[in-house]
Amino acid sequence: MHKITFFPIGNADSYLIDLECGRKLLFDYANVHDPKNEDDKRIDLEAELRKNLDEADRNYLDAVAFTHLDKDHYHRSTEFFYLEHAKKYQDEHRIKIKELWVPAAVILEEALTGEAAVLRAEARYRLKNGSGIRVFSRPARLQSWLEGEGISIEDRRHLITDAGQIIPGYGLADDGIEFFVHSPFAITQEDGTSINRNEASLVLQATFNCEGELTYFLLTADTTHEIWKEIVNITKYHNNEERLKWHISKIPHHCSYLSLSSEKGMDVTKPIPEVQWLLDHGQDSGLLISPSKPIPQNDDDDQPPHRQAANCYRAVAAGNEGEFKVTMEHPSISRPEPLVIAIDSNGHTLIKKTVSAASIITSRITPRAG
Amino acid sequence: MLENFEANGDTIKTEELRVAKAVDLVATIGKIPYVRLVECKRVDEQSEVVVLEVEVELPRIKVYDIRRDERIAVCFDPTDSEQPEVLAVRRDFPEVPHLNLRLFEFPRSLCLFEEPYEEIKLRWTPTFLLNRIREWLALTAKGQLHQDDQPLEPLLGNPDGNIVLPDELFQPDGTKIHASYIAHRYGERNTLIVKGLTAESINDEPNDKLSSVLVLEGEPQQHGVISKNPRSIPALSSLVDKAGIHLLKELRNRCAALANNKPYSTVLNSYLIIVLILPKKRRADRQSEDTDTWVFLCPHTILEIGEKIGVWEVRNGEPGILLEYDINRGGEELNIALFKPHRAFSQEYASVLNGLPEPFINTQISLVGTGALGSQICVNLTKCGIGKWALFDYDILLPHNFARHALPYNDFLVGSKKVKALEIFVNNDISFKPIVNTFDIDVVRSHNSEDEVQKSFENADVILDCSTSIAVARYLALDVKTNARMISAFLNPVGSDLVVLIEDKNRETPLDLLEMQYYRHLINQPEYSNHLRRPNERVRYAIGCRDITSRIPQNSVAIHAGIGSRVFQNSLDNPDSKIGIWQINEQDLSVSCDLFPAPVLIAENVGEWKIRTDEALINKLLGERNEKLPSETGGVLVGSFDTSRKIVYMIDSLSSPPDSIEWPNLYIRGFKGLSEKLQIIQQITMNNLEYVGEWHSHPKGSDSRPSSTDWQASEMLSGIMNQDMLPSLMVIVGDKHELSFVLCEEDKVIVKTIFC
Repeated sequence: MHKITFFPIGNADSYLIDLECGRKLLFDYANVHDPKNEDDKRIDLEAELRKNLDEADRNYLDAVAFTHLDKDHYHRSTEFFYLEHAKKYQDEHRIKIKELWVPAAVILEEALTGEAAVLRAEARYRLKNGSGIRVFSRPARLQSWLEGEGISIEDRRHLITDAGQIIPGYGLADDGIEFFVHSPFAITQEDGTSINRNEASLVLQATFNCEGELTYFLLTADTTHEIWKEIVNITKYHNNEERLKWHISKIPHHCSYLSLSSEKGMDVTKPIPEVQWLLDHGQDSGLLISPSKPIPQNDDDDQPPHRQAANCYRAVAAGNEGEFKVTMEHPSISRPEPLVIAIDSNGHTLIKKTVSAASIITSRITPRAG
Repeated sequence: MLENFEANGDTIKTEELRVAKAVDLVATIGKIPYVRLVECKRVDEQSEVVVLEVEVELPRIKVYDIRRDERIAVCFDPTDSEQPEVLAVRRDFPEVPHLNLRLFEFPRSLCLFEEPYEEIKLRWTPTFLLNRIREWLALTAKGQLHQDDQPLEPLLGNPDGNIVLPDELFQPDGTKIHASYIAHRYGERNTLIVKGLTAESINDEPNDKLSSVLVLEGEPQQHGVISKNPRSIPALSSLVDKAGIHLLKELRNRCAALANNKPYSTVLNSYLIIVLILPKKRRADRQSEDTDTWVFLCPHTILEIGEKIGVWEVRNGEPGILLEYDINRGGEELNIALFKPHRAFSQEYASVLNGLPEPFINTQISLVGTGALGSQICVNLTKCGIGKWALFDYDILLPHNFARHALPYNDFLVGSKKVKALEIFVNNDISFKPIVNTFDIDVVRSHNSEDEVQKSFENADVILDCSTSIAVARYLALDVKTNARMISAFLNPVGSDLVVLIEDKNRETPLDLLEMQYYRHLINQPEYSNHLRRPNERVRYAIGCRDITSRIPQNSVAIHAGIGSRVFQNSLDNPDSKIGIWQINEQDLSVSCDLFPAPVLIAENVGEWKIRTDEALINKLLGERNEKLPSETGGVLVGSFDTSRKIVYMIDSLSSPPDSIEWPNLYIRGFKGLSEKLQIIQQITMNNLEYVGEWHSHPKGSDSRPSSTDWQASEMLSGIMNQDMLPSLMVIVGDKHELSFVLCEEDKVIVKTIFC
């Protein structure tokens, strides 16, 4: 059985794939939980991941992908991971990364500060070193950056995967999973000096195999409707429609209407035709997961999640006997828990376990007793 | 039509609920996810119903059509004496395994728990119930709720009675099914036993205790057939129609055939039992994999039944056959009762119940010795369904035997042959068919005189020796011509320890060698120094000088017979030779196990004598030579003489005494402490091990041929040994693993050299 776990961390992304073969892949990391705030329902991501790794008696993840360098995708990651480029990130409690996955933009982006700059330094170090990294897309500027470091792009070609390719090292037969790369594609990074991060982010389709039963999962980063338009058209152009099939889809950008259309709509966002096509490409019992705060009842907040977008996704779910789930609402707004999807020969199953009172009590600190 | 069944009763507010478990359930809903309250109802001012909607953990690919949101009614008994009934109220809720059998098919009643309500009550919480409902639905959706051996049909709560059916009615292959069966009822019990019909069985029984049995087999079904509990013949008839069984037609034909087949009075006055064999398959595209068996008793005589279904008219108690069946008479008045079928006990069923593979049923076992241990092991194994048996023992049962023998005391048994008594017990009371053969002979004295005995040993797969006689074990190992593997089991004199000697399948480590290896183990492990000691007190049961028996508690024999049977059973699957000693700790009654492999036999003929030893000793001698090089070394050989068969067992050596002279070209064995050591060995092994010879090594570059001094030494030894009419034995170890046996008997010296 494979497992996908989405962590309830508010408007931030982090989800873990546990493969039946034992390999573990993490997509984005944002530990936004505030331990000082008793009302903060966002989970302590570091603790959750450590629990998972401890159970497997491990101190590493097989792959960690940063889909793009926005804070809600990397917050406090430099406190958690063992980074190879500098001693100060190397104490024994840190979690090691066997292979770091980044879009080329992470290497190339210039005006970065703080943790983003640290992650860039790590990616650059690994790429220069020639191991422990996979870079997605190969814009001309990557070549010139490498040449500036005295390395030819040919020497690093095995570490670079372009859109339209399968990620090496993972196979349907041996690992029960295959990743197809949709984005970034080279053209999105050729427009002048500045790089639009969302446009240059990592979008994948994962195909799980369990005894011949295939389950498709779209890993969508913060993709906007403009980029979806490009992805859908390119995919159709190459007759690769299969590669946009989904049983499970992460909803981009915390359920923002901008991933559907430029218009929010009154009560329901109407997606542009390409996005509508993509949503209609969902299979039976399609699961749409919004990694976000609970869906609001009104439009007071400009920031996502947007209730109009949520209504659009709900309609899609209703159409294929699927479900629309929000990480901070699962299983309840008052007590969100990690959202787990099991994948086996019965396809995918959204796990709906209830937790016993005793295990709730023993999994958290008790209130103060006087 | 509405999507859901409407629950009975009047709608009430949640705060009006009175049944405590209903109140608790409603209080919990709202606090936990995946459950929503729909409404509450009260029926007849008593029982209360909580209707709720649960969200089910559904996989994408479902085996049964369970929906994400299922509406459920939980019906609470006001006195809480019955388990709350849980109904799926959706009108098209599918027919799935694990439903309760009710009088009505809808709404379907979920069978949530296997344990009785009294047990479940102890840990009952509303969350427990809700979790189980959701789990039941989730597993059902995946088709994973029921195990393969569970019926597809709804589950029987309270049957009207029990019925025991012969094995063949549980097999999917119907070829073995008898033409007719009758059911017997013994005493006033509500349990019937069905047997194949024989001429005697029909005349022997009083009429009111007999029922005629009609066996009908349906077509294979993927889904269940008996979806509700039918209470009359026509109700049953309409249910089984689905499986292609035309019940009324079958009944009419059967009645008509009976009436034409005189004498029939017994049958006409018997009741009717209908056995339905319903083959089932897990998937539409598969063959049938198993069968469900259903039994209904129709408490009317065949005479009445024939009349009510239009086969005949009854005049003066006699049936008058109608020219044509009156199909307007559908038997509406014929009520039926549901009986729970049970598989009859048999050797095959015993092996299933004991979790054993069936081939063990046909293992040919010769058991020699049917005393306390032998009889108890035999009963244990036959109760597991193991074996076809040949029993050998010449002894008779006397009162003192019954304290520990498997057979219960009975005046009729006293004085009878143990084998005969055990044969009757096993054949009649355990296997219900002859699986035991007996030979009331002393196997050693009979000495293959009887062909039957020899044939029985030849045909055996395993010979189990429980004779507690070394002579018998030796005889079996050396004089019986058979390929059968031998296993010997015996208790030590105080009954605290069990010893099992197990030959390998190819008999490369035969029983006589195992016995020697067992003694070797005793003298080398300090914990066995008292293993063979005799008990302080023994009981004299008669006036003969051998009429004494040990005081061994039956519970020790039972423990060891349990272990011994299991060891025997395990060895059927394992080809290796082994020696095992199990010791009961008298303080805390724990049992320790010392199980070790037994090295293979090395046998050499030296003149008229046979030397039997094993790799373990040869390697020990080679090792000691190497250790002492460049000097020579040596010592004394321990073993046993079997003078009747001219065998020298050579099983261990004592290290060179400290006053020995060990030079590169000379070894003179000292004697300090030697006789004390030999005395202890004889004590520990009850004189079964003794001095058998000498050994010494030759230096590097030398072979093992005896030197001139060796010849002289051998002659000297022989002079002394011959006074006991025993040969002298000298073993010389040389280079390149060369070994010479120098055996001297009455001035005749024979040398045999081997390479190890």
